[in-house]
This record gives sequence, structure tokens and C-alpha cells, in this order.
Amino acid sequence: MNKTVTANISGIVFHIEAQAYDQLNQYLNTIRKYFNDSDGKDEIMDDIEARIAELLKEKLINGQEVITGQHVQSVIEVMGEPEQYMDEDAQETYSSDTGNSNFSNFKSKRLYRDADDNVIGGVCSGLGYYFGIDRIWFRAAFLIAFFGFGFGIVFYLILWIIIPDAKTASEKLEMKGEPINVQNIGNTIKDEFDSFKKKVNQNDNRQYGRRAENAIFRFFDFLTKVLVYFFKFIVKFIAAILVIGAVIAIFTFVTIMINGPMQMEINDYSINNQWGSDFAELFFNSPMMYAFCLIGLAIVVLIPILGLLYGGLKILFRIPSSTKAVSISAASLWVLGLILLAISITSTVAQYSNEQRVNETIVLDDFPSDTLNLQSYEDSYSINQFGNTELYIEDELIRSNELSIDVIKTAGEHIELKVVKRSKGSNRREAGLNAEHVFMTYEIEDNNLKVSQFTSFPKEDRFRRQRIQMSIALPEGKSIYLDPSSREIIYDIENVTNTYDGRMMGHTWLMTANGLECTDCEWLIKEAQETETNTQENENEIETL
Amino acid sequence: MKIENTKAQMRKGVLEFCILSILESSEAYPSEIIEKLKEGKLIVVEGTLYPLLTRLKNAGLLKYRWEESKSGPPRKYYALTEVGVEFLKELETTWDELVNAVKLTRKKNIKK
Repeated sequence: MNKTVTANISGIVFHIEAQAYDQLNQYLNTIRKYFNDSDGKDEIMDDIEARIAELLKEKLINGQEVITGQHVQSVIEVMGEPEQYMDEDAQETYSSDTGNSNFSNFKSKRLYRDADDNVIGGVCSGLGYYFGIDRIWFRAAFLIAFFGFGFGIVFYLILWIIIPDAKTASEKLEMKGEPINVQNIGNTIKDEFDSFKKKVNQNDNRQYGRRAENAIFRFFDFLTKVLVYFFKFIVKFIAAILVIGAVIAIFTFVTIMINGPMQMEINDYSINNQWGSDFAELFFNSPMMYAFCLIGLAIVVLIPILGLLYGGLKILFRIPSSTKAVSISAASLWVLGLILLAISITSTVAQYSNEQRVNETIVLDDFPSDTLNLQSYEDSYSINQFGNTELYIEDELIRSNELSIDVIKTAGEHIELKVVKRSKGSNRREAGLNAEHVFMTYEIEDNNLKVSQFTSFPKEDRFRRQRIQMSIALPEGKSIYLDPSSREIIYDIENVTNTYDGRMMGHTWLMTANGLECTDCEWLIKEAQETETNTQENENEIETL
Repeated sequence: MKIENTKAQMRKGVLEFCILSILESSEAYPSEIIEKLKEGKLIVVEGTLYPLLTRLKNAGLLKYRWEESKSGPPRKYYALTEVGVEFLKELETTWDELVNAVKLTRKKNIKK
């Protein structure tokens, strides 16, 4: 028992065995693909289908109701295998190239590999035919590129894969056909004109109506051809831009991948004097995840670009469609890359999902003076002028400049350093441990508190946004001198005059009942007075109005 | 130079001429044209004919009309246009010249 399907071929309904239907469908698709480039493709296909319907109907004359595989096979034998169509068409190509018939169909060249005249894969021979240049030049160029730059072999392999072999006679003729170029398009248009003129002259002695009909037909034919060539030119132009763009994109991407992260700024984290890969690894939880990310990124970015490149080359050199296998494997590789990237990103993001803080308080109970002098070890703050986080790797330690100091008021008697260490981690415990591991470098000598801009933490903790916020708690009556070197570490210190951090430096600030007050800023007092007079003036103005 | 290619080219050259000749006396539908071409061993498979007919029609040499058929879909009956008749005349002249040329050259060779 066989399953049958109902099919409408050229308006006639047939019952066909499923298998026979597939066979017929495949046959028609192959032919359709072949006629893709011909003018009047739909009409040709309609005619062929109509004839097939007629032939099948004849088969059913002796009482049979269902079309079988045998029927389909015999119809295909009558109509001819696709290869036979192609061979016939090849002859047409030849005749239109050599013969001078008015109605010859202009058929252009395609890029194939020439397996008959090859050194390796026949790529150079094919290119030679395509561009109408002796193949020896392409061979020489590839040889130089091979020894000179090493790119030659890769490029050759790519071409070998994407350019099909000229197998049938028709493909070989297509390979050797006339190239499409501006001159050729011009010639064809000129030929059209000449034959048009000739026709007009020949028809001189015939009645006017027919001549006009002929002229109009010729004119429209000519017009369509010009439009078609113009359109083809536009398409090729776009394809060329596509190819050039894709090549530039590939080179840029590969360059960034090789020495890139070193120059890249990832989320404002700039890197200094370190190998990018060493650094980038700190974000991930294992070298494998880092590798996943790189490979995934490469696949996800490069495959679409290569696809564009391939598409552009196909249009540009009229490379016939290759099998679906290539696009299917490219698509699956892309999905694989996406999965790798997703795994890497989710596992990395998970590393930052929890945050913990650890508090420590240092009491300076034997502080010799009433004024604390805050300084920083690093006086060169220019390296960090954009406020970015900087990371250094020093042997087993990572040094980060995520440290900030605030000045607050305390009710106690002694100056206190309240240190809050924070870190992220994949869970609360890990985040807590990471936070505990962070330490700051500082030193107290006489009345000087010297703090390093950089916090340190072990390399095996990796970078999990470890940071320290320290508050210097001043009792009322004590003051702090902000040394200019502390510029990078102080952050948003509140004071009674609302003075901004940058202007607080180089001055002494006294903790009063209201908050910090500057003791040596004449300009501040002046400014305050000016503001007051301004306000009064404004008020006066309002009154007069 | 492969003999198959040369043969096919020669056959191809006269194929259009033959199609136009078949249609000179009366209109015909593709199956009838195929029958005659098969007799002359000019084509082996039918599929070849359809693109050719379409091309000749698009070039203004042929026209067609539809006719209902008992044994299947409606048929296209092809006939020569006036341009086609002119074209065929020219081809006939050329053909006679060619036959003459071939005769002459072959006789010479035989004499040698």
C-alpha cells in the first residue's frame, strides 16, 4: 500500500504516489534552478509543466488512476535529465557568442575552477578565464602572496572551497564566456543599435505600419536591455561595497582579537602595562570560560561577516549556488558560538550576583595633634584623570584604585578610621571572603596619615569589584588638612560651605557643630559675602518692581 | 577540441532554422514540432525545445495562440510572425550558400 498525494499540475489534478511526487518535484526544482538566470523563466517552466501534465495524462489512459514512480521516470526520460538541458543551453551560449544572430541571448561569464588545467585546484585558471588575463599572472600573485605574506594559502583555500568546479560542457563554456564589463555592456548596446538600424533600413520598402511596429518593438527591447544592464551594474556595485566592507571588518576584528583587550576599555576599566589576556581573564571564573567567550565571540561575529563576503563574491563573480550543506553548517556553527558565548556570559555574570561588606574600625587613640594631615603615596594623579578604575597585576596581587575617603563627624573622643570593604561574589560566602581579603596600604607617622590610592587583593580572588570606602571620623574641635596628593582618594566630603572636593585641597578644615568649616580660605569668606550682597540686590530689585 | 562539442554546435546552429521551417507551412504545438525534430535526430529530449520556443517568441519571431485539448492542459499553437518569415528567408539564403560552400570544399578534398 502506498500513500498518494493530490497535485495540481498545470491546472489538471493528479493522484500521485508520495515517492513519485517527491521525485517529480525534485526534478522540476532542479530545472527551475537552472533556468533562474534565463529571461522568461516562468513561461518556460509553465510550458514544461503543461507538457508533463499532458504526458502523465496519456499514461493514465488504460484505466489507471494513480501516477507511479515509473510513470514519472518515463516522463523525465522524454523531457530529458537536467544535465541534458544544460548541455543544450551551453550550445546556445556558444552560438550567441560566435554567431551574430539578432535574437541571441546575451549570456555572461561565470567563475569556475578549471580542473582540466590545474596546478592545485584550478583556481588561477578559472580566475584567468574570468578576467581574461593569462592565468600565469594569478599563479605568480598567489606564489608571492604565499611566500611573502602567508595569506596566499588561506585565500587560495577559501577560493578553492567556494568556487565550484566546471564539470559539464556548459559550465566550461560559461567559464570561458564573455566577461561582463563596462566595455562589453557598451558593445552589446551598440550591437542592439546597429541591428535596429539595419532592420529599419531593410524594411524601407514595406508599408509604414509594420515598420513602425518593428521599430517600437526594437526600441522597447533596447530600453529594457539598458535598464537590465544598469540594474546589474548597481547590484554589482553594492556587492563590491559588501566585499570590501566585509574584508575590512574581518581585518579589524582579527586585529582587536589578537592584541585587542589591551587597548580596549571594558566598562570603564582601563588597563595599564598589562597583557590584555591576563587582565581579561580576571573577569571570568576560569580560563576555560575566558576561552569560551573569545571563541564564541569570534564565531558569532565572523560568521555573518564571512556570509556577507561570500554573498558579495557570489554576486560579483556569478558563482553558482553551492550546496545547502555549507550554509547549514555555518548556521549551526553560529548557534554553537552563541551558546558558548551565552554560557561564558551567564557564568561570569553569576560571579557578580552577590555583594557583601565587611566593616573595620581603627581608633587613633594616641594621636599627638589636633590636626590630621591626609596624604597619598602617589602624587601623580594624572594617569587617572577620567575617574576610571585602574587595575595592576603585581605577582600574586591585584591592585585597584577603587578606594575613596570621606570625612564625617563622630560623637566619640578619638579620631577613628571606619573602613568598609565591599566585594561581589557568586554567593554570599564567597563575596564575604573576597571582601575580607581586600586591604589598604597606609601609614601613620606623627600627625600624618598616608594612604595609597590602591587597594590590594589576592590574584586568585580575581576581580570582583573589590573596593574600600573609608570614612575619617573627626570629633568636634579636631581638624583635617587635605594635602593636594590626596586629590584622587577623597570623595564628596560634606562641608558647611558646600565646597567641591577639588577646592578643599590644600586647606585645613575644622569639625564644628554644623560640620566641616574651612579655617584658612579667605576666598571662601569673600565669595560668601558677595553672594549675600547679590541676594540683597535682587531683593531690592524685586521690591522696586 | 571535443567532437561532441563541435557536433552539438553544428546541430544547434540549424535547430532554430529547422523550427522556423517546420512552422513555415502551418502552425503547430510543441509536441508536433518535437516529433519532426526527433525524426531528424536533431534533439533527443523534449525539455530542450521549450526554452528555445520562448526565446524565439521573445525575439518576436514567433507568436502563439491557446487551444483547448482533450488530453490535457490547453496547448500553445506556435506560428511565424511576419518578422519570423523575413528571418527565415534570410536563413534559407544563408543555408543554401553554406550547403554550396560545403559541397565545393568537400569535392576539392576528394579530388586530391
